[in-house]
Amino acid sequence: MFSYFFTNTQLADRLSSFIEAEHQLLQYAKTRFANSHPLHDEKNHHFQLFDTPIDIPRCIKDDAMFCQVHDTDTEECNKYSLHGVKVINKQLESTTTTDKPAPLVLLHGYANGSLYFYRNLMGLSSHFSSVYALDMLGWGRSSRPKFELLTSSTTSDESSNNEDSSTIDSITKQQVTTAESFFVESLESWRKHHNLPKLTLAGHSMGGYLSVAYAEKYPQHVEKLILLSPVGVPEKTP
Amino acid sequence: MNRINTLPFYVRYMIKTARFLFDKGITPGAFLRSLPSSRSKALVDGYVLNRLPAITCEDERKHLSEYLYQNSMLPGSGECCLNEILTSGAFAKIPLLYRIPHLKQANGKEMEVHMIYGQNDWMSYRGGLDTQLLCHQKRMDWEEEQQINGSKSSSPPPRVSVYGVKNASHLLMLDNYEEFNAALIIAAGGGEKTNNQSQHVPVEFACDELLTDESGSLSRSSSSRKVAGESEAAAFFRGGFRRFRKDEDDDAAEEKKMEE
Repeated sequence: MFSYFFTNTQLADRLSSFIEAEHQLLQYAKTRFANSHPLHDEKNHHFQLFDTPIDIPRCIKDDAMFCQVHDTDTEECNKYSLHGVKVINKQLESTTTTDKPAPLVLLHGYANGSLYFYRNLMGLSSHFSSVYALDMLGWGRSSRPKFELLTSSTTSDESSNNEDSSTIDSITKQQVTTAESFFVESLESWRKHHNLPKLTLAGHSMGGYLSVAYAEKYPQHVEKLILLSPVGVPEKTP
Repeated sequence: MNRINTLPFYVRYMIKTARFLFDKGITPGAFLRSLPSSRSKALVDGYVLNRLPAITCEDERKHLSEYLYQNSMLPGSGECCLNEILTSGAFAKIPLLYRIPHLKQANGKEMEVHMIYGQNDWMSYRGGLDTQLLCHQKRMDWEEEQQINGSKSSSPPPRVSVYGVKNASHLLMLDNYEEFNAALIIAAGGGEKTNNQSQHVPVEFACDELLTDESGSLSRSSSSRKVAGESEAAAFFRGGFRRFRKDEDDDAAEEKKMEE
């Protein structure tokens, strides 16, 4: 009961030092780690932190809907927000070539954040006209709702045809699908808001696993799938 | 299960406790939050120091570990997905090995899947090559089916390419960012630009069945770049824990395992 008062000030402290660290890393991303690309010019790269309002994924229980941390001023009651870094290469954006790669979306791994890619943002944006590194829902500066999901949800309408579906019981499968849809739905809502028809989806570790889940559900929006050391590929050996 | 019984009792109990906590839904973040703040900060600092020797700048390391620390000290949300998706040995409940071959784009085109691993990665490269092989086999079946049916009835299974990044662990984007960037750009189809600078080029791997098969499964990527086989992959990838194991002088334990 007393801890309520303490935790709120603690939270604010933590949040401010988190934001401080994030800005420092962003500063490193801007100034260091430029690659020796011949067409490279740092002035063309535009870095921006952004928050995107997204719909609440359907799989979250009603009583767990409120966010545990609010840090955005424009706080809408029925929207979550996804935080991220956007890098735009103005030079590439202005050129109108036909084989322009789809915008790159980077998903971080377990217990990381979008700025974990701070060493790569500059180098990658020499090829991609826009690079988005996202904090996934429940990590970093995105909304953090409680992870309480409807297990008996109707969201698992897609019937993924796994070869070994007979060996995995349907309850486990539903549980996994629901947990994945927490992230997949938020990413899809984010994509809709930015109006991107195609993504080059790159996910590291847990993000790689979730990007496969996304590509399974929304294959029409994925141009290429790049898995960076993904978790959960091999089968468990007995 | 047999392997766990050969370990010393304290290691055994540590592993069993970790598994118990995992099954109860206690995440690493929740564990950190339960510690006094000085301890947890020291833990994260130590982790960053040990796992990321590539970061030599003192300030940079400080800010990165602060970023990681505060990220996990804020109330947990997304991190609770851990035991919903994975089992306690970092295996998926529904492995990707069986999910990737079913990926297809909506308009009848194939999906391109690229997998990038670090040289000292604790995620095994075998997962990537096995997926590649499975997709290749499915593709052969699909082509046969197409010949019988005549017209196109379904979209083909995805093409999988596997790359290795030198001098990098699981956190490959921080360990060797230049080669990682090159690998990602090659995977995204911009290989021609990076080819000119020869110093940071990742190695592409393929399983032996694909290399011997001349029918053109590899024709897309191997036009300009060399593709290494399985034996070279086995020599290239070192696995994640070898470095630490050598430090602890655990060679005797390894010998024992070999004898069994």
